[in-house]
Amino acid sequence: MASIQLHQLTLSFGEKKVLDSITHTFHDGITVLHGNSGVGKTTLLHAIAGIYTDYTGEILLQPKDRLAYCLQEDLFFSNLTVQENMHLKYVACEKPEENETEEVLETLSLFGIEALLTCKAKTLSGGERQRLKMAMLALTKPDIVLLDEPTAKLDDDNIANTLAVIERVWQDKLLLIVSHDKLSFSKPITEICMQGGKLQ
Amino acid sequence: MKKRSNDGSCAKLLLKKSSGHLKISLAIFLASITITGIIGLLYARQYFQYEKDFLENVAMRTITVERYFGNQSVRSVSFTDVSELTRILDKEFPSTKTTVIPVYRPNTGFTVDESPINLFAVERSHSFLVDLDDMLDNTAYSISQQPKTIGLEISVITEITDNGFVSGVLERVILNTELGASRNTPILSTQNFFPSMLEYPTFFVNMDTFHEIASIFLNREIVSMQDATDSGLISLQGIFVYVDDLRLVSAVASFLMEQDYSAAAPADAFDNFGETLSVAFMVFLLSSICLICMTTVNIILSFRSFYRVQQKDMGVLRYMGFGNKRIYKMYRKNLGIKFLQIMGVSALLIFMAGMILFSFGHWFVLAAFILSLAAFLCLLFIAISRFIIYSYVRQELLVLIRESKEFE
Repeated sequence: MASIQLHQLTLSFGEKKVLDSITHTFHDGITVLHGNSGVGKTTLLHAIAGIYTDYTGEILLQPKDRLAYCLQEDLFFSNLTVQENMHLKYVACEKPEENETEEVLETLSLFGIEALLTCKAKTLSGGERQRLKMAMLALTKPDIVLLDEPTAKLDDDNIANTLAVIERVWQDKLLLIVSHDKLSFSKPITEICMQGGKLQ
Repeated sequence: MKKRSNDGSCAKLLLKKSSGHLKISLAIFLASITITGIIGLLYARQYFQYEKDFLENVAMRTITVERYFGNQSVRSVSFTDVSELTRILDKEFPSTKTTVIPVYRPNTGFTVDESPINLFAVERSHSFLVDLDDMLDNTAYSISQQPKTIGLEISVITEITDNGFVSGVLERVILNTELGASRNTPILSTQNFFPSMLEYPTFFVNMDTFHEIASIFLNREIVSMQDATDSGLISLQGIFVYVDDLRLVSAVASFLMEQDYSAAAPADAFDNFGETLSVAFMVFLLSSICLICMTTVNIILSFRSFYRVQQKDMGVLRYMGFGNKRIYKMYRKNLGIKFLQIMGVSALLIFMAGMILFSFGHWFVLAAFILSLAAFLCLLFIAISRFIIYSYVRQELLVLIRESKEFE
């Protein structure tokens, strides 16, 4: 069982307290963080992912748990192919070379984009790009997945497809999603509203 | 090892993300360093030509002495002037090596195949005066192509009268010939040697060979060259004063004129040439430094802007899971490949230019230019990788991914 324990987590940018003494524990299953812009949702994910380190308080993860964080930006190389992007991710994770082809294909098929292997990333649609980002994360076999606005800029069909894929692939993992949108999953999820740097 | 080779494949993928802007900058850089190198070679060639024509040219260090103006009369220099000149020069210039070289010629025409020739005698130790390393016995050194051997026809003097001389039999002396004596020797620039005389074959022999020829010519054993010149049938073509230190040639010539000797020093005519060349060299040096500086600044700025717009790429790599060191090594490797390509092409072009300019000579200059180029590129490579790539790579992930757009 994976978990994220936050204890008195506080983070300020200058005078502004973005995260204000948050104490909370996230468990396996899907948790969606809602809230207006600027309330600290993404900052919280950044802090959990280790991008921000100048916070006070504690963030406790199980040492064995692998964490994967999908930022809102398209963080892959647009003018490389899907296969080349997956190769880079695979090498970055220092996985054994001999299993690469098999594992990459398997992961891409989990997200339904195995047919796009030789397509350049810049030719992919918004939904396909989102799937590629998540497929790259899935290569690391994470126990905790942080997703920042996974449905942003997607049309309704793509939102539904993306959420279905997320649920299928990571249903038994700790999944923490930040979203402006109302997200519909087939299984019950935890929804938390964030306001003024605090979890409500 | 596996990880390393995999990182290499990632570096290759990054290299595939080529940049038109950087390619243009690299092409300009390549052109600049190649042009600088070729201009440098041109100047080096000019310097070598200057060295050959002036610094190493015996004629530039040689003062021709043909007349003596003392005692209110004018006379040609004679055998006794050789020792007198040696004495006064040793006294006046004790720390400078000056060599007084007499050159002799027969006053009457010797022939080869009944055609007139010019014949001069030079001490073997003074072969350098005709641009030769050595002058062997029984060998006539020519300034133009001649048969392998010549039969020197000598009219043997049977009687010397008040009106001249009577010659009897014609004796032939067989001499080997060697091409290689210099047409620019000061011997052929004396007042009593007219350019039209170059129409006839011109030979130089060493003094021992000339002794034998003179003995046959005078029909008696000659004791010394003074003995030969006293006959009036052998004379001094001139006395040549060789000054080891080029800077003192003018001073020695002035001194000789003060001593009532005629003294012609070709170096006087080129007083400003060395200065002109020095100025030209300084201009080259300064312009090369400026060109290299501008090129270097240009390429550094190009790489700086190239890597600045690549910050997002670095951020993507970091986000994917590559550590700072691995990203730095990938970019450094790609930079190294670019620099190797530049060095290869530039070195090849400079080498080809060098082959044309130096005609396979002065290899060390060519090697020095190429090694300098390699050293310069190495320094630039280290500077760019250490101070530009590293400074970008080590930035925070969010700074990297938000400071720029992905580079395409």
